[in-house]
Amino acid sequence: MRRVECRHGVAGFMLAEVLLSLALLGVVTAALSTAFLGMVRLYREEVAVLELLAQARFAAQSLLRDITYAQFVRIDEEQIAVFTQRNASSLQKIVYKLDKKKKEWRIMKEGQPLTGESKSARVSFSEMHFTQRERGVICVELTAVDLDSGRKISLETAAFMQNWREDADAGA
Amino acid sequence: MGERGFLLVEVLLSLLLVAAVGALAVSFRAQAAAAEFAVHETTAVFLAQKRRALVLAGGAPVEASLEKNGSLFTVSSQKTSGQNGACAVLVRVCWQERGQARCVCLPVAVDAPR
Repeated sequence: MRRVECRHGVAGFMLAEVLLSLALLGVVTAALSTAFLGMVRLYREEVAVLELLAQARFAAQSLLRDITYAQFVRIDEEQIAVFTQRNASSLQKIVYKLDKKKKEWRIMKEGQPLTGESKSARVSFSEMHFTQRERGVICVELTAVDLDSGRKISLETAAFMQNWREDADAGA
Repeated sequence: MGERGFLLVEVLLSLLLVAAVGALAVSFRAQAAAAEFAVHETTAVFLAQKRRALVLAGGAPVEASLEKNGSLFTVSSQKTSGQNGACAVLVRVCWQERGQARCVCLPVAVDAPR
């Protein structure tokens, strides 16, 4: 930059130069801060998505494991009761249902939350559907939502009941 | 020569700043790509498990496509007959991600009917 000699021999900048520098600084700072805030928002969203994924995967795996070893299941709306053999004469009933009491809907297993609170996201399960297909196949659909960003993760899977018999629930 | 330039310190500082901003942007982009891949891979694994259950139950369509979590997944299964009525089934779920084809394979052994 060109320096100006003033009367007292002290060097300085012209007013136009200072104003131009300030304007440029403002523009660059605004652009950088916008980009940085965008990246931080993206980072938070990605962390929330990973949290959704972890919770949906955990719930789906628990469901698949229990259904695989079930004798039979009973499906209601957004609820499934899984009956497994406890011993030779008795069955154990495990109920999975969607708890809608709080703002964040949770998947409950035997009255205990299987999904729920997290520091990185406000996870809510908006859907949990079960469909019985041919020969002991149970299809499961789960949808998890981050209430802050609105991002959704949907998992669709199925389990084949290894101990399934057509007349298994007739005597229960 | 009489030409004025920048000091070495000024040039190095500018390069450092540009490199820092660039590295930050690249790392954020890589993290977003990794998260996207994790979502798609998990979706594919669960779809493969669904196909496996249908195969074990004795029937499944050869190929099906469906959209999940912002990507189109193609599910296919290939059956190979073995000895004494047993067979092996290879379930394959494929999708496109950032211009690259990705696949998850799940081998299934099916016992002979009793």
